[in-house]
Amino acid sequence: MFDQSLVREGLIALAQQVPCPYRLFPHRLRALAHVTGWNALADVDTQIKDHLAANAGPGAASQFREDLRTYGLEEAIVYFHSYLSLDDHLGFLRRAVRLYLAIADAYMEHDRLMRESDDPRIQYQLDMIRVSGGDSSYPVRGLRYPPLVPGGRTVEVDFVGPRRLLPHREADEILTATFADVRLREPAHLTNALEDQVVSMFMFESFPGLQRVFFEVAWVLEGFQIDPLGSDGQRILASVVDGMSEELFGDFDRWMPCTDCAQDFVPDVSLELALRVLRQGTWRCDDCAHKG
Amino acid sequence: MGRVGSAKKDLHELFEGLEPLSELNWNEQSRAILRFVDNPDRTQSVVNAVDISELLERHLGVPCVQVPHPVLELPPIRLPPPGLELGRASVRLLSFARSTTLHITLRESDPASMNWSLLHELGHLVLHLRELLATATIYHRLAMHPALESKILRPEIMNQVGEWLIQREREADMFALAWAIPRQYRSGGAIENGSGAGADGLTAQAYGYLLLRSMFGGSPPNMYSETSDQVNALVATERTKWKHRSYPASASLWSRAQWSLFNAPSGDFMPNTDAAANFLRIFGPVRTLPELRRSPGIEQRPVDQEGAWLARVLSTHAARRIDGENWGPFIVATSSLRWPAYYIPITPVPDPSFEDSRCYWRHMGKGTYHPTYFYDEWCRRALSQDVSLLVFPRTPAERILDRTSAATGGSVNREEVR
Repeated sequence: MFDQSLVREGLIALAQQVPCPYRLFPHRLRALAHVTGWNALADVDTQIKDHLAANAGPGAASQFREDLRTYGLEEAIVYFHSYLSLDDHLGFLRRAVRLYLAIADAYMEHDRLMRESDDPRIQYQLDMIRVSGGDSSYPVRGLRYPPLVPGGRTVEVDFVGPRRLLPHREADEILTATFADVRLREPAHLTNALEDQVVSMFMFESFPGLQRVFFEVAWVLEGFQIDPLGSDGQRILASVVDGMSEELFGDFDRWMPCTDCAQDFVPDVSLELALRVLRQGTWRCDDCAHKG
Repeated sequence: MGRVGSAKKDLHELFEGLEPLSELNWNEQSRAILRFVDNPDRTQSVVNAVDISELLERHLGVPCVQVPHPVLELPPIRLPPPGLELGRASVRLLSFARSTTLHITLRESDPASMNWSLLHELGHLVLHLRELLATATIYHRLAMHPALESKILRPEIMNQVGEWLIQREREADMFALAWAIPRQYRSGGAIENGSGAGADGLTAQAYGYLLLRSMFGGSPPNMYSETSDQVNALVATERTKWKHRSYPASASLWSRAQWSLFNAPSGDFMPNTDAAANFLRIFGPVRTLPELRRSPGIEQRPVDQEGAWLARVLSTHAARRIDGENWGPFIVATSSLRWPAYYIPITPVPDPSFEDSRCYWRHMGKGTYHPTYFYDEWCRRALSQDVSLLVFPRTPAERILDRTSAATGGSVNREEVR
């Protein structure tokens, strides 16, 4: 009998053969279907959910469905380690991982096409994920939600059950112990907590560079249903701009190519610039920006 | 009798307890306003549109915009003409998934009409916001499923909706009446609070009639020229005329106001929740998008011309059309006789320019950080994808709002509420 914790590690390793920073929620699979014509969600239903119902009981199928909705396909499969024995389901686990890899591969192949598509059927699927706040819908995996949020709760809206995919048992114990005192403090306003979190992330983890920084802030804020161009969003952008001006995020090259005239220019980093870049979606030098 | 000063004080107290109106707090806020309207201790009202609109903007975050044009409702859920076209409670669709802002549009008119119209439109926001949002959701669905257009206005659906449209107007007028005429003066019988009006021999409803008449330009109740017997008799005649008649949806405001007075319930003002529930059952709850769960497929059926109710504009004319007076969206038509796979829904990014052709336009299904383009570029993109544009130009009121917002130094992308 295999140690089920090893099963877990094994499934994670298998799944990560195709690097996919997105959680493959049903919404993503429907979006993918509009681009490829492949109804991957139907395949997930027949090859995984129906198989579980027939061979592991209806409880297993329900659990998988909830995990899929809450965590996405990869983690829903990895969670098999907690309720499926490898002895009894080895062949099925192989097929499930193979299906996941095929879907992840197809998704990454069409990722950019979907993000840039004008098809509202695709955009609304992706937007549902952003609105529910339950996805790292940008290729920066591992962003932690602020530990201090109103009510001490996490932000995901459709949180189903107490399950959590832990990176590693020891790591989790360390993290829990490290942040145990944090959770006892008075919960902070979400905007304040996000402001600290975003600035801290850029200072202590990684800074994505001038070209991407405003978009990454916007992605984070959208995930928390905060409009980047509203007053709260602007406040957080202003904090990031201040940090950049004070060189808190490290030295970096500020030369930017203009998307219109292709000339290099040094932008004057300011809140107005951040808002213009986000509204227009591109970097333009002052001359091209004011041409309109 | 309460003094006008206390009426203003009561009104300010109401608004100071309110927050900017949104989908999330609508239930609670509307109840607070209805409690105010039905408060039996209220003896006078503030009906001046200028005073009320200032409070609406400051506390509820709902600006009121005046336009010189007839004001049309967002299709398809609107009464057939001839309507009075005096106002509209508007939901501005900046994007489909989340962002809506609210405002009231009034047609420039005489003060009496504007006072009543403002209260009427406020009634729509207080009573019918969910239905307004559900109507907006229809466009969301149409963008994903163009063929749905031919199914929305099927006769069996419109028969059910027609009743609701009349009732919606009736309820908004009842709200306006309930605001303008304190509760004790809406029903028959003697005035109970021993005010000066009762001492004159007027019935409660007669006094209410005088209040209403003064709102529409008549003399104030303490300066009427007739004797109290004459007024009581006049009111009795009018009551006979209006009581039990069907609601005059297309009549003048004064007629509708009188009808409302003489058909007002004696108890609390209570909207018909069954009718609202029926509306949402037909059109779907707010922001419910069954199309998100449909299996992908491409509609290949021919366009049902009879079922098409959205305005269609040829691409050669659309550029001129977007700078015209628009109160609803339109489709930039292609020559195809089949439903496209989808529509690209676009709307101008809020801008102080009065011309939509000078604005950047954004995709209503994408986040705010996605690229925006001029209108011509969107046309080109739609053509290359063999689909149509679903164009949401700004209404005249929205252009004024954008210009006013820029002039006062506010963020043109005003805080979006949900």
